[in-house]
Amino acid sequence: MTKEKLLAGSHFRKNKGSSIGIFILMLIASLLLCTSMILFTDTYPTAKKEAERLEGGDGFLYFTSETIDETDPALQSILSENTARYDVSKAIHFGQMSVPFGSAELIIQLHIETPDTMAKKEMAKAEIVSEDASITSDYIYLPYQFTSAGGFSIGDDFDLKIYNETYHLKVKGFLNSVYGGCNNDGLFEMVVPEDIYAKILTQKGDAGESTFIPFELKDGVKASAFRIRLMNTMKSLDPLADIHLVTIGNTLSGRSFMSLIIAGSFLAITAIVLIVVILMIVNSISNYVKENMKTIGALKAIGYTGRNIKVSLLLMFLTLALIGSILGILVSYLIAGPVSSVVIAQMGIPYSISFSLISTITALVAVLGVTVLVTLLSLRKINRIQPIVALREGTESHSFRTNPVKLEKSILGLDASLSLKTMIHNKKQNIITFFVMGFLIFLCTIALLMFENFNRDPKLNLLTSEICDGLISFDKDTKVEAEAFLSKQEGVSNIRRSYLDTVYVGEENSLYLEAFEDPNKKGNLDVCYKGRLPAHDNEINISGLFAKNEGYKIGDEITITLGDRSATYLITGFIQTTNNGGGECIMTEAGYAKLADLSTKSANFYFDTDKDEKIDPVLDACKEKFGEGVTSSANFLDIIEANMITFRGIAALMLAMVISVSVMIILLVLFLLIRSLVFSKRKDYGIYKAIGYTSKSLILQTAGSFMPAIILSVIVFSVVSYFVANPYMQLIMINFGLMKCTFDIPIPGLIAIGAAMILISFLFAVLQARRIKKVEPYQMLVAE
Amino acid sequence: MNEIIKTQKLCKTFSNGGVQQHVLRNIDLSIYEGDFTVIMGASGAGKSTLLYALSGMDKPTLGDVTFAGKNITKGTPDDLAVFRRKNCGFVFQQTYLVDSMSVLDNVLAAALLIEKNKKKAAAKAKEVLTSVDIDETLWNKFPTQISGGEAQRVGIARALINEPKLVFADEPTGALNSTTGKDVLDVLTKANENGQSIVMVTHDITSARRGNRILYVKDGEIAGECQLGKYVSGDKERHLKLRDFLGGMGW
Amino acid sequence: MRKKRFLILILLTFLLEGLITGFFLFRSQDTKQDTVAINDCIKVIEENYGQEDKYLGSPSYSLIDNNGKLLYKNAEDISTSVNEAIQNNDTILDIKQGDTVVGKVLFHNDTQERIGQYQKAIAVTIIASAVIQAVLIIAYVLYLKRTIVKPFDELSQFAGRVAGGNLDIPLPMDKKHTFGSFTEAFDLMRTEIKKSRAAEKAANDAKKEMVAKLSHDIKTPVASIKSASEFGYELAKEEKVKERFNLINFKADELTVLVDNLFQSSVHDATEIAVSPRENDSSSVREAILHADYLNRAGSFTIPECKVFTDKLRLQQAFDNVFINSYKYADTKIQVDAKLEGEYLKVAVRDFGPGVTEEEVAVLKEKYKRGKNSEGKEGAGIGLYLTSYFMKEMDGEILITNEDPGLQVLFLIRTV
Repeated sequence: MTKEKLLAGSHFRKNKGSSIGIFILMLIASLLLCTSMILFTDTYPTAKKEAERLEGGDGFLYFTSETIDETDPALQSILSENTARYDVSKAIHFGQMSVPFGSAELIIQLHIETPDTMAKKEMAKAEIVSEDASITSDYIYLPYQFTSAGGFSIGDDFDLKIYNETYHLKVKGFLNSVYGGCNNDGLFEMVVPEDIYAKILTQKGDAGESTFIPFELKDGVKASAFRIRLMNTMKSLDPLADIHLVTIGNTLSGRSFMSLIIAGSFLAITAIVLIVVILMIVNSISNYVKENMKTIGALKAIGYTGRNIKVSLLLMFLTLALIGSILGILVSYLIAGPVSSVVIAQMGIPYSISFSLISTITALVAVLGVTVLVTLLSLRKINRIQPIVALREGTESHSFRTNPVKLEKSILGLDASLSLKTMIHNKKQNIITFFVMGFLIFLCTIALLMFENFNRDPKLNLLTSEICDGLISFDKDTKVEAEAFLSKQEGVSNIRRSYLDTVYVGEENSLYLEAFEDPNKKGNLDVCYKGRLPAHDNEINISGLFAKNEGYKIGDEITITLGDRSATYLITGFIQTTNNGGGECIMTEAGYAKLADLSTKSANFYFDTDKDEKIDPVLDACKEKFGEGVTSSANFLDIIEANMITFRGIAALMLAMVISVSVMIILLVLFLLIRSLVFSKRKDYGIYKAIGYTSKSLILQTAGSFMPAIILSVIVFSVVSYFVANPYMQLIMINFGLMKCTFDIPIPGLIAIGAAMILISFLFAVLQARRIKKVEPYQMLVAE
Repeated sequence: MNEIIKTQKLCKTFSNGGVQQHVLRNIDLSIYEGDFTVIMGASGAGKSTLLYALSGMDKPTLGDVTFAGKNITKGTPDDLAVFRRKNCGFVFQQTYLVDSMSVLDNVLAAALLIEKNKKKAAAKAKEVLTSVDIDETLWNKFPTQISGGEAQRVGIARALINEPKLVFADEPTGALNSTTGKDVLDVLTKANENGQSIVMVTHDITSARRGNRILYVKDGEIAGECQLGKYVSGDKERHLKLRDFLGGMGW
Repeated sequence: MRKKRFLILILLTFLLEGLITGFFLFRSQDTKQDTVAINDCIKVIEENYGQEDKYLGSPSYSLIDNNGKLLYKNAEDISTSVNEAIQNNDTILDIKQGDTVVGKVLFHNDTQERIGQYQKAIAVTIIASAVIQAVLIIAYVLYLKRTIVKPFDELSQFAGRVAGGNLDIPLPMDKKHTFGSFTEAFDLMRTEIKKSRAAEKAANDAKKEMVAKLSHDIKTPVASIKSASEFGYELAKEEKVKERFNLINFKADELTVLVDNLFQSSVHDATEIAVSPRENDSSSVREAILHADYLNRAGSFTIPECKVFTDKLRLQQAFDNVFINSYKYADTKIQVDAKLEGEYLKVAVRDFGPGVTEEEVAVLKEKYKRGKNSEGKEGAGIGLYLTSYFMKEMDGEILITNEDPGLQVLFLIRTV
């Protein structure tokens, strides 16, 4: 081993530049790999881990009723039949409240409770993450997401608006809550002092407090079945009771959805970067062998076997890989912090990076493994090559070299002809440049796609089932009059009426139903990713996930039950949903009418306006006219704005990261490629210089010889990326429940990226090729 | 005298763009122990090709080379490499020292192939370096930092370190001026006097004078040979005999 | 390596074929009706009953009323009565207005057509992959031809040339080194034979030279003897003595003639080369040129169809000599033109080298004559002499002319 070690050291000294280049590539590879592994194995499952730690159980139910409470024997018996354990607490529940979040207002359900209630909970506990004990009155504890994404700090003023009353409160601390911690779950849990609680309770009026029952189901009891039993029981006890059941699955998927998209995007990018890095390592090692042919020949002459030389090279590359990946992993723990914090902000969970053994080992093993594999593969020819052939730098006994560009016949200029010669001579490197550049273009296209669709012009149809400017709901008595009123409002157009309900499939499953007057006039037609939206009264669309789990296909019939009525519908399409745990369906109003008497149902109206400023006046006008008849209203643009805050930040961060990584890789790649080119041709350059070529023309020749490959690659891969980016994203996103990706790719942006790549490459190539300038012709000639 | 190498109908053909060139044709030759064999010939006559075919650095097209009882035209490259460790030393015109290794390491890199004990190997390397007049001040320098003559003597030290059966020298003075060239030749002559068998390729008559057996290669064949006896500095008669021989060969 | 790649490709096509065929076979099991589309049709008809312009155009169906009267159909060749529909396994559905059935829709059962489509697809797949496989196999055969058959062909041509005594044309190395050291050994053999030939010739020449010299040397004393005998004859008085001197003179003359003969025969090549021409196709001329032009300098040319009177082997040697000369002295591209004129097929072989001087043109065909530019190149100056000799024996001729630039050799080949 001594002699191999001796050689390994010598290899490194001889090729410091390339070695450092390869080292950095390995560092980047392990860095990205480890970071994405941490995101997937540590950050992403945080929500689940926290839910277990805070004893979230399998879900919770809450109801507001004037006649029954948790002591009701029927309720007691159904709870004891189905649950392993449960906990009961009281809080005030509001269905739709507007709260400040970031720079906008968020419409969301609120659970307001007292500190005492919070402290006594045995399940679905809320934990104080941080607080200022000195604030003792008029305070409020907010979910942690308010500080991680909503822009609040302890001590800030918080105006809680309940109906017409505004409570001026101070933020005392932040809560880590299982069910009420994330805007994507549609519920915030807040804690206010007793006096404020009492005041709010009086505002709530007759309905009073709601009862919250987190539960843990017995083995073998399905949540959907439990829901149906519970609902039936409750409805029979009090038909007017407002009752809801939320499962832990829904909560977690709502909470983690964005994190998954982000982690998924990160993975998408990492995968491409890894391919580029592997390509470059292959290239560097094979270049290394090419450049060191003579040394290999001399070593073979004095009796080193191909194996000895291989071991010594492997030793060097492995050392580089080991140090590179260890450093990369260390750095990844540093940057995983900020990256994770962005990801986690969306979940609203306090989180700090912990050591992830699996991530670390995976990154280390992957980088070392790839290095060993690639090195051994690239070094295969060392065994075969005759020492004398190596000493003659690869001139074999039988040579068939041709002169593809004859200067006397070339129609190109002298510089261009010599460039072409160089290019043909470096066929292999040019092919690698072509692919490396191609993957980088693809990488940038993905980044551009993310920026365009998550930041500049957010793709809302991914996140919501319907897109509109405003949304207002009226109760059963006012809805007909209200619709007429609404349609007369100035600037209002495209009013879409819908009904929301929960329906049942068989004994065990329930679906959230949204019935539209005409589903094909929806603002977001992309919800249906396969088949078509329902058009007739006997047609229905169901969530793809639900269909998959239950074995439904398009063209099958499904029987839907609501109360004592049921009807059979034909499944005409699948929809993708990110809410309600993938248990949603869409049908026509006429179809819904088979299950329910529409006149007893309140209705939602989605509408568009010709100017964004008109949304609020229209909503206000409705509220003024119909007062209590308006059950809820929302300025959709504001809601989206609030939801998009973190999203935009993430996309920008991602873009910045991708671009910096891309630029770094491009520069590294060009550095390595041009360096080895100049090195291998230094003798030729010496001769050219000696016979009177200027450095400038040699530099242009060298830089120019890369351009055809780069330009061709940019053109080819821009086109390829344009068509492949969406399927690629889909491939990754499909695992996260997004079935259909129709992201926009702005063509001008793509062209700009391509042009920039070409320009940067050329400039850097010229800059790199300037090293030709430094060397004296004589030195080059005798540099043997 | 014992044969170290014996060739039978050794042929080597190169081709370029399909046109064949028969550089060695049916060479039957023996190299004897203790000799300082010199291979001469016009450039392109096939001297170097013969040298590398003799040493197993290159595979001949046809024919056999028996080196120390082993047929070296057969066997894998690695087998041959291991064989060379013990039996061959090489001195090249361009030295081919590994320039990212110090002088001592260059010699040590060869020594460690045989002597696994690092200390013993280093001691031996130092001894051999001293014997070729490379003193301690140069041991830790890099090949680019020493003169051509010094580098060539380091190359010789590297060739001698494992006490090979035969040292092959390909134009060892080709890149040197006459003074430094003489030092290098002196080192080789001294080694030969100590019993080291040497085969040297040269087209320089001053270098050729050092040998006791001169082979002349012409058109890929051994055109003639001349026995000179041991080298004695300033032996006029010997010199004249060599000149007559070369003259007869068309030198 | 190539073989492996070829096998993998072929296997891949089989795999692909299997997969696609399997896919369509699997699909052909799926003969379900598109319930979604049918539902759409029914609903549209019910909602717009009587307004035929609103009915959907696909899938194919016909609408009949309760009396079996055809109200509407959107395709030809489909069932228009319940009976027909049952025969064809069509789907029959009621059309209701309110709760009353007002008619029936007969949805065309297109299972047969669908199966037909799948069968077609399978057939297309199999044909396409068969074509791909055929292309692969042809490519591989071509590859084998290029890497094995062609080098082998070259090798046998080479062997033929060597057997025919032409030792000047080397055996080119084939790119794949198909025959290993065989190629090298074979060419080495050629050079060795050539060398021993040259040595033999040198020895012969030396012998002849010695004979010529000796005969010349003998002529001098014989001349002295002759003049001495003539002198003696004049001086002698006695007839008997005169007669003796005359005999000496006569014998000296005889000796002179013998010595002259000896001299002549030593200079003249004793061996006469046999040329036996017969009727051949003119394509044999083309082959001869192609074989001779082993560096392929001539590019493409055409030889008119005709019958020629040639000895294939000698004609080959004739072209070999001209081409090898051109390679040796001009080393440029070569232009070959052929036309039928009178009784001859005229083949002009022209290069673009330096050519020779006018005086030299005249003597080039003579034995042991060489151009000035031949200095320093191997050769005996016998090539064009032989070429000319062969052509004459075949009742033809060669004409050598200087061109600007280059040299042209015009072969006049007798046609039949």
